[in-house]
Amino acid sequence: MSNIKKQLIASSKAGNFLVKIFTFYSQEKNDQKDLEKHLIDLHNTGKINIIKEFHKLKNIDEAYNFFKTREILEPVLPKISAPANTVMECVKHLISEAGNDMAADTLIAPFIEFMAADEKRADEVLNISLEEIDEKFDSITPAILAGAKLNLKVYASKTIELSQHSNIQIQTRAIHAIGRIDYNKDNDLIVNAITAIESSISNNFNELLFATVLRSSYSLCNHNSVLDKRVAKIFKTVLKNHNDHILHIASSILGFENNIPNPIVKLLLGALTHTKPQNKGTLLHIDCGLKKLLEKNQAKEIDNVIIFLEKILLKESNISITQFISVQQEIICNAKILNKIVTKWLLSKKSRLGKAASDLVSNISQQPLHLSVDRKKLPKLDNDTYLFLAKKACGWFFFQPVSAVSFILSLLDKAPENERQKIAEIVFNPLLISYPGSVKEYLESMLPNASKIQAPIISTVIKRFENYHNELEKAQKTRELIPSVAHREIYHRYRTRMMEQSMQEAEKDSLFSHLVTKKLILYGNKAINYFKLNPEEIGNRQEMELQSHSLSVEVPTMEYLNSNGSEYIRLNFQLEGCTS
Amino acid sequence: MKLIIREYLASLRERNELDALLQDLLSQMGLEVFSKPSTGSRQYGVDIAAFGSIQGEPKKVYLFSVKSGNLGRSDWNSGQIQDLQPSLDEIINTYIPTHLPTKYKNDPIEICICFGGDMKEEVRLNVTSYENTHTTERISFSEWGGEKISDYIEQYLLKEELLPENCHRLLRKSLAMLDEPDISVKHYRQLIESISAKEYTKDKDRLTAIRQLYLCIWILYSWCREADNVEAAFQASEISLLHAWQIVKPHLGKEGKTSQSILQTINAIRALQTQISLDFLQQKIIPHTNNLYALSSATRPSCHLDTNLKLFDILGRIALAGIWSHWYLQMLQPNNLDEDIKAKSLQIRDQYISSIKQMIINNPALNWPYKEDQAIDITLAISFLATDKNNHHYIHSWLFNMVNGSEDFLKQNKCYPCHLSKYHELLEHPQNEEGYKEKVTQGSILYPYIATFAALFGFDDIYEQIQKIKREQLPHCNFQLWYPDETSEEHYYANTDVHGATLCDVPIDESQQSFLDLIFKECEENKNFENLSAITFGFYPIILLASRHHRLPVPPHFLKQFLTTE
Repeated sequence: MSNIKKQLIASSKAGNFLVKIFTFYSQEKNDQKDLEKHLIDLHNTGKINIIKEFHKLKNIDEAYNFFKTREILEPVLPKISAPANTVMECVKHLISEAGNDMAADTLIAPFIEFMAADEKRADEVLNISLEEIDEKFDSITPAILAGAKLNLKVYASKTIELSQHSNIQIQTRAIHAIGRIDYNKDNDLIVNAITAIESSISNNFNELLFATVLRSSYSLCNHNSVLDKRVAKIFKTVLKNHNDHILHIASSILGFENNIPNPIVKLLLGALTHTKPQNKGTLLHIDCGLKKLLEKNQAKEIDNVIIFLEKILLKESNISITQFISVQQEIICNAKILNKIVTKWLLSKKSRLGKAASDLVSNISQQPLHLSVDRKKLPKLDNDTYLFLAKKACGWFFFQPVSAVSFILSLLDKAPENERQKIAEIVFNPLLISYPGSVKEYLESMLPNASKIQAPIISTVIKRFENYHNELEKAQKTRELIPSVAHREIYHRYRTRMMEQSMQEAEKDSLFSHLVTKKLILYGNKAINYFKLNPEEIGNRQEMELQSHSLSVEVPTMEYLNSNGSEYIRLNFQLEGCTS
Repeated sequence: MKLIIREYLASLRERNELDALLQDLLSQMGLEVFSKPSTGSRQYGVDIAAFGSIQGEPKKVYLFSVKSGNLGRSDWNSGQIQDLQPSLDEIINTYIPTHLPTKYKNDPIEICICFGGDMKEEVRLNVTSYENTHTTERISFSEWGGEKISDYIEQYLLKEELLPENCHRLLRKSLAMLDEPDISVKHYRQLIESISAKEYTKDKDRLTAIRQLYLCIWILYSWCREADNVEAAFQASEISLLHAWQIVKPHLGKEGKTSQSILQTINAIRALQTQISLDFLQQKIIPHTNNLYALSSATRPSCHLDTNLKLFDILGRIALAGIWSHWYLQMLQPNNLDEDIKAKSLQIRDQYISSIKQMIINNPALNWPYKEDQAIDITLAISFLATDKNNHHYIHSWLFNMVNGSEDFLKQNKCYPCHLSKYHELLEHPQNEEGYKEKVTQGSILYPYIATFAALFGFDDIYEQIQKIKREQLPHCNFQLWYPDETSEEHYYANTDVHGATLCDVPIDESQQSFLDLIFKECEENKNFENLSAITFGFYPIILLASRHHRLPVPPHFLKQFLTTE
């Protein structure tokens, strides 16, 4: 007998078996396959009852890591001989101990394999499960899946029978199993399964059952595309219910399934507009799904996404486009989609969509987005549409001035002559006046490539701004108007306090500040440290140069010159002509 | 101190500055000034003529020919009308033989060559040989340079018995801090208060006191002018005028030589305050009113609050200057002698009107009062603009924007008007705490004044909007108006104590007529306004000046004039 085996037997007797195998498993020098073999052998020869030992595994013991230790059982389980009921109890215990962890269910597959090794095991587990329904642990599905591996027809038939069971728990689990059985392309069985699902939703509504139906029917549709229509019908019925659980399953289908048939996509998107803002997980799945649709870069899909976003944003004020991070990034990276959405939403006369356009454009990257009007969206012969759009762009993108100006300039070429001057006025005041840095730079950079219509307007605006600036400079020589030293000092103290507060707030949530230790250096611009490997030596000298980090933001001058008025203009531009 | 006075003298201009000072100085020295600079153009070389004895010398006729700054070759005889030699020739050849009052025909004459600075060596020989050539038994010459005049000023106006050393120190401090006007004015205010707080038992002492005020503000102003920052002088001139009025009140309407001198001096202080105001507004403000955001930007603000506070302050100043110009025109009308002066005054008044309008258009922060006491500046501006009916439409649009904005910001909890006045509190306004809004809007004069104008000018929409604000946003707020009381005459000018009475809960919920009836009924009931000396003697802008400077609401009596015109 090998030394390891002896140690394992000794540890089992000493009551520290789990600690021992964890230690052994953690040491890189040890071959984990060897450990598996030893455990299987020791169990099957009756020297150690592994199931009994693992039943003792708790998610609280600090002498071993729960999940790592449990991981040792996974390859061992299918290869041992043990009564099915004790294995089931052990698996149930280990899953229950894992709690809500994402890795909780990784033991199910080995459990299925364990049962699939002997049909009696599956039968036994299924029988126990049907007699004593465990609310928290579904052992019916694994038993059916294991049984179906051995005898597909019998177990498919059993499952269909159970799917009409009077107990909703059994019925739900059977429906779940229907979706997971490998039918081995047996169309008759698949059709029977879909019929069973259809039948299951014809009676009373149950949230869990309907959600399971959604998932299982979609799995069947994967097996056989001929069933798309019937599955779509099931989806239609189920998705009439805007229950959180159902919507969550719908979102996971949208988010993680590929090549979903278009009718089903439409049904999913339609239902998911009812998602509640607090259901962050569902929104996250939707984000993934929408991103995938956009990635296809097909007009129909893009339209579906835009319509969905519009509906959900208009419906729920607490949902923002910024919650769909992947979608936002996808849109931003695709100028055509971005311009289409921005134009459509600014024209919509709906303030929530205007706000969403603003959120979309205010991306976190430092580079300003250059926008351009999507001319296809411009209604013909509509008076003041261009001026209307210019105002909206100024109002909603005021804090992204380059985006605002780029969009407004793109309007000039097609704008009627009588609107051009008014549009140019918006570029000058408030945009250029507020952002003499970025907007002026942008206008100057635009000038060489500007169209025949744009060029003279841009030149005039720049010239006008230079005159304006000269006048400001002259006025600034008026020393009489400078705030008193007392006011300047009070403001300085106030600003310092505000900065400190926001710094503290930011540090609270900063991951970086939790990772590092802070040291204050009072003088100099280098830090010298000696790193010791052991207390006796002097240590290695390390010199670290300090790096300066800065971030500059162009604060709109209007904030100083006409704070209230500027906000008022902004609001007016945003809301003028809006119907909601 | 002497150096300060010399600096000041050297900076004075010839007309209306150095000659005006000299006149006061000579009077203070006990001489009888019989030809004054204010009477018109110089008379055959003589700017000022006086008779009397200086420092125990025999009585003489002193004829002054005044030049500003240093006396150099170019001032002697370079073909200019103001040159010294031709002036002296005129005095000898024309003034003395033909224009000297008969009663002085036999008295000795001293021709005084007066200049604010020093005599340059380059002209010394010319002057000396001229003096040697023209000195006779009766006619002698003397040089009144900066040194001599400052000696006399120290001796006759500022000697310690007349102005204590601590006042000298305050004046020096005030001059040293000109670039920080608030600090400079703080010292100056203490100086003025220590002069005006004295109990004057003799009229002569009172005359000396206001001459000192006049001299102090002149010194400050001349230094400010040199520093190209007249802010301290602007504020100081207002303080000086108000305190001077407080001192001279007992002499108003009185006959007698001293009383007349006192009245002349207060008139000179008023003229100087007007000059400083004109200087400030014409050179520093008005050139920028027609440029978008120019004045807002000139405030070089740390935040929007700085812009707001300074703009309303400037608005009040222009409006008050406009009211003074309007008053001046009213004073002129009965005589209607000088068409040029009238035309110029009209031009100045119209310029103030258009400047206010331009300023509001180009500095939209003026649509958003933050502080209740900005109602004072708004009231002054509207009172002035409304002197011309053509401005009613403009007033309407300004008030409409203001009221609309205030209502929106009250709803949105943004920078709505409040009765906080401290800068640090305003910086943090508004806050989101529960009950904060109610706390900082417990009382208002802003809305009642706007409502009064709205009712007077028939701006129904604005009146209704204010009713709505009161009803929906500020039901807790005491809408009030302030009236002078029997103690106001004592405290109004120098702001020595709290005074006046407040009409509480003005009935904004009632019709415009009932609202106005109550406000003006209280004016009828309250006779204290008519009894204010500035009102009794026709100097009503002094009351408005006191209101602006001491941040007191404008008495509603001033608005009554618009009741009759509508």
